[in-house]
Amino acid sequence: MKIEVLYPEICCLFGDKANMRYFEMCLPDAEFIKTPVSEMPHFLTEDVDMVYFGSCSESNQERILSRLKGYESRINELIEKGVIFLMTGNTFEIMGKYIEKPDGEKIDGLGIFDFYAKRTIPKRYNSLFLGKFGEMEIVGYTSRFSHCYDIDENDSFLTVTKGYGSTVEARTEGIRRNNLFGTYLLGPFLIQNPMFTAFLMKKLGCKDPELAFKNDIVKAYEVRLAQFKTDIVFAE
Amino acid sequence: MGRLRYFIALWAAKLVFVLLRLLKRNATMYPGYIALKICPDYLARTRKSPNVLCVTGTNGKTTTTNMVADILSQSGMKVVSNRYGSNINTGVATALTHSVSVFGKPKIDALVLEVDERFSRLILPFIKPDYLVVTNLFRDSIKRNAHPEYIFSILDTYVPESTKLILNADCLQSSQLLKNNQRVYFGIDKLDTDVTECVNLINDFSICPVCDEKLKFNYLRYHHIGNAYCPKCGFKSYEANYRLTNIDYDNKTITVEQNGAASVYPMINRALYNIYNELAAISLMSEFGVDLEKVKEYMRKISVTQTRYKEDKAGKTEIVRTMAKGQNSVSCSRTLDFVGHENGARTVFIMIDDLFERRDSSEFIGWIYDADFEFLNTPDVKQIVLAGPRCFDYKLRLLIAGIPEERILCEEDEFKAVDIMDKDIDKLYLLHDTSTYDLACKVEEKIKTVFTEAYKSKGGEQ
Repeated sequence: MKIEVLYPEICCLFGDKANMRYFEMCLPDAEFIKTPVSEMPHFLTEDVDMVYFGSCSESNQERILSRLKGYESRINELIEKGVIFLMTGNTFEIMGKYIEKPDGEKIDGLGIFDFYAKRTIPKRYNSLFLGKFGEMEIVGYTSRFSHCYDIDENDSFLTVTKGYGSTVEARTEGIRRNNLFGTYLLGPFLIQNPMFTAFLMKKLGCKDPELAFKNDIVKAYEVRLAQFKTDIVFAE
Repeated sequence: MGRLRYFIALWAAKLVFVLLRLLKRNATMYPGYIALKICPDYLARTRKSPNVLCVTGTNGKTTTTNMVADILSQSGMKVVSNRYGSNINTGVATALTHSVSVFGKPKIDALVLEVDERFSRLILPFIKPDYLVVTNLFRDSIKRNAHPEYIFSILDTYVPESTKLILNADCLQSSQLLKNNQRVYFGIDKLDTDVTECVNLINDFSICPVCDEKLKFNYLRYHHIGNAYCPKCGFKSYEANYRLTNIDYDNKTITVEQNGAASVYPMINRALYNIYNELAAISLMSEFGVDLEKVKEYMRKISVTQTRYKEDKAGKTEIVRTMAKGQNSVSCSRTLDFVGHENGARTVFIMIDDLFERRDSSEFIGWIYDADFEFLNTPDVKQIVLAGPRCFDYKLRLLIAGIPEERILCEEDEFKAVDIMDKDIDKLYLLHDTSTYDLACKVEEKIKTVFTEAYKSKGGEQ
């Protein structure tokens, strides 16, 4: 099993790095390839089972786009083949048509999805999140300088119970196509959502996924889930 | 009209200050808030004292500002500082109110201000500091500060061109600020403990800003603090004008070299991050023209404020209460590094939940995965007590750091945690957040009582 972690030196804000660190503990036999920004992604020339991108700054988002432009058809091919893509934080915005800066300038995206992103700098949006992926309850947190618009309902990842979706008002969150999952939720997303982690492990071929520190991770999830269902403040 | 409005704002702020003090209330922010409400350009309109010295950056602002204010006060200057108050625009407006008479005339010699780096755009263009120290730029609260590049862009845009900068040559991020301003750099020479590959979880300046190549480090201290160069394009760290060439932990001194001349100063605190703060203060004082021989004398009378660091004893146990700022992974890592590398058997009591967020919301705990809890994974750390509502998240974090479960005590109630923790230990480090300072003081009192009783019950004398 081969998992490529793209640009970990820049896609690592807000604790996102912990996702693959934890995943490595759950999948001790898997090969994790960490590709720096100065190198070409492995998935362009070889088969991988999963690709992970973590949160990054706005300038690094543009840096990533400059690296991946021209490889849209290969990325599409992998998505169609069912390769898992997990994108946390703002990185999934690169999959859309464009990202609009506050001054109106538009940066071309990869155009794999039809949505567009709009930056709101210096206005930052912070919100807790409670939602669903199928019947699975998902908890998390978003903190960002942008929103995504015009995401087709069939292309969305999560439904929103409480908190911000892809925009403040949106009732869906993130993007999904086949096994590509992109979410504004950031930080230790896989650690905070053990059920989703187990789901990904199954997708990767683990028949009976064994989560590392299962009791503790489930306990932390349950405490958070119970708290999120109470009447706490979700967004300022 | 604007002038009249300014004076109404000034008088209102002074009156509000007096009233709040009569009511024994903290009057460090509200007078400035009133002034800015009445006169939005209050900061720009207030006549400045002859010298305006500011300190900003992610970590070390308060300690550095306090040192500078103490040194100048000891030198006989009349100083106003926001040391007990807010470092945002309202706190600065309050400090400015104190710096002028009722007629708006400056009545002090120097204004020494700690300036919040994110709020600097609302402050620095209007008060136009003569000198600005930028201690460093790191990740901080995700909600407020987003990421270091964002804060860099604010400072790079809003610091006036006339301001002379005192920058940290070892901070690859902040040393790149405002290349057209006059500047001097301070830095610490290679230390025995330095490395060339990052051991921390995060390094926000690992690739060359010019060509994206991975940077090489002549020495790396922590995170992106060190001396680097690009093997491809020649980009490199700046040379320091004020070089700390020796740290003598036995004699508690530091040696600072400038233009080839070395001077020995008393070491105010042995934590490396506080040595950086002291070096920043010395560099600023030198640039400002204070007699450095006098600075040495003044430094002997300075200590790090007890809200940040305090040593005490209960029974046989030495107790160190120290701040580990929550939601600030680097500040927290610095404290974890310090505690992890101390000597002897010890317990670490961690209560760094955000007290304000836990009242009516839930803290984002992603930052704890950027903080180096791995430093606590040493056999000398006998027990780690995790106290507060997020203790289950912290326990998971410690397990992922490889810390054996039997060394972890997880308890939501801080006071109950004191009752059930091990008492037979030589040293205890109590780590708290800014927001849990008052709570930590109460927990510390309980620790002292309980530990003293436990010691006495075993036949020990206090």
